[in-house]
Amino acid sequence: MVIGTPVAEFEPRPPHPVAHRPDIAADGWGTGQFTVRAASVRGYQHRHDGTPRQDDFALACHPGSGAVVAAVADGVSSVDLAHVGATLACRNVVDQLLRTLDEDPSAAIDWPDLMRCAGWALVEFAAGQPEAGPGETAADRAERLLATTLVVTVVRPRPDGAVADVAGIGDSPAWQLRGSAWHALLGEQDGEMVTPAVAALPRVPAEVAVASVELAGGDVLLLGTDGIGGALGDGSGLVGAAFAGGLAQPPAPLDLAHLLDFSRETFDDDRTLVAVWPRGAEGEEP
Amino acid sequence: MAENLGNVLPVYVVADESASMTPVVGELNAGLAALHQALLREPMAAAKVRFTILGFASDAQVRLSLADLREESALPTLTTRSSTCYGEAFQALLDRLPDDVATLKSQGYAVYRPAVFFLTDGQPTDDPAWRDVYRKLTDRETNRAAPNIIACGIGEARAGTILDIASRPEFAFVATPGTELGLAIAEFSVALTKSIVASARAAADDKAELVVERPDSFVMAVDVV
Repeated sequence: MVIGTPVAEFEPRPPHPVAHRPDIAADGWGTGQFTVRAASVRGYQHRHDGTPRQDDFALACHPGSGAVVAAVADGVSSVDLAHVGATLACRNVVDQLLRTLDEDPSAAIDWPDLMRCAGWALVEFAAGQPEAGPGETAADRAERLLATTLVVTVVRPRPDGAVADVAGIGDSPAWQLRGSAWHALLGEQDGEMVTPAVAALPRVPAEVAVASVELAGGDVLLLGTDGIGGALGDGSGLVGAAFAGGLAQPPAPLDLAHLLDFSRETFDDDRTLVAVWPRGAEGEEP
Repeated sequence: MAENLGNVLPVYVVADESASMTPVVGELNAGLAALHQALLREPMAAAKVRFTILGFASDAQVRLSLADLREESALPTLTTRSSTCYGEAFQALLDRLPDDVATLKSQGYAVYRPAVFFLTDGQPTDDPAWRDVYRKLTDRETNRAAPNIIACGIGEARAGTILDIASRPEFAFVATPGTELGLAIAEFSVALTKSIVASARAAADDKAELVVERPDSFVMAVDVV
């Protein structure tokens, strides 16, 4: 799908130097309370350079409470194992949240602690990697090799919709989409100049960005990476319209991947989107 | 912020056209042509770049302004003229950059911090007067469009001056004699252009704490891989 001027056409190169990292990942399922879709596509620059997709996501449904837990991460391009960092952060934070909900399904989430745990997962992995020099700690190595953004949500069902708690480190965005109106949940990037420098795990800022939002039937909760966020802007243009239309009903997972893979000149970063639709009061399909 | 029409990186090639460059001006032009070709082989980078060429000697002259290189068949040819006034070059950048950034933004683009490729033999005739203008240009407090400056030494380049001009030590480049200079500059410039637009860790600050101890609540997930 082309939006505006397309990116130059070429055959993607295989990603080096990784054992396995698919160009596209897509997933989706539904429960009595939610419909969930997710997709992650390698950006055109990485396809052209033969580097792996450095975005990833993880999804789970908490069996006791019916809550949906989801995470999206964007590995920092300048580090060697960015793709591994993104995957580790997503999977560990989702696992950690499921344990928290096991203990108390209505628990208030201690986001800074949760982010530190996600950061520590990177440090544990980094401990097994070669040192760059004598005295380099595992935490330093994690930062050098695995730095990644992370945005996480717990969406808990309510009789009339749902409540989503969201938290993030770095520039990976989250939105509530209602009709064609995009509401950014974690603040928007300062508009002065595009800045490629991002806050990233295993560093945890003193104040983790958090938001809590009530979702009515018909609303969609979205987590993404800046590969989609940058193209979307405030959602008032062609990209916003294409996605508002494509997400009005839950698409098939492969259709979401296809939508996410749109071609638009200068937007060549990896793109990832997780979408959660609460079912309405009667549990009808959204 | 409305819809973003595209991410663009303003690139300024600022070329020393002083008389002392006469022996290497051919290589300089070859470098520009090679840079053009190298960018065209990188379609993602080429789509983002808006290219300006300034030639300077006793004054600065615009040879190309905010051009899309995919639409230019060839780049202008540089010639050598008179003295080497760095101050004129940096003043021309200080005059242009804020306006150029504002123009691109008003067209609906998101703009990366401009990148200046400064090509010189490192022998200014207005030393140290140029350093004041340089400070104004690169002060991010007062000049929101303060650029990243990449300095390439050409000919009998003085490495010290090249390092003084580069925003960071890794942005300084002095070709070793005997290399194919044009190609070296082109490859260096394209690699830097790509690295400028790739995401990087924010500079460490006191407000973001590195996780150095295992949190009490941490449990390693069993099914991570």
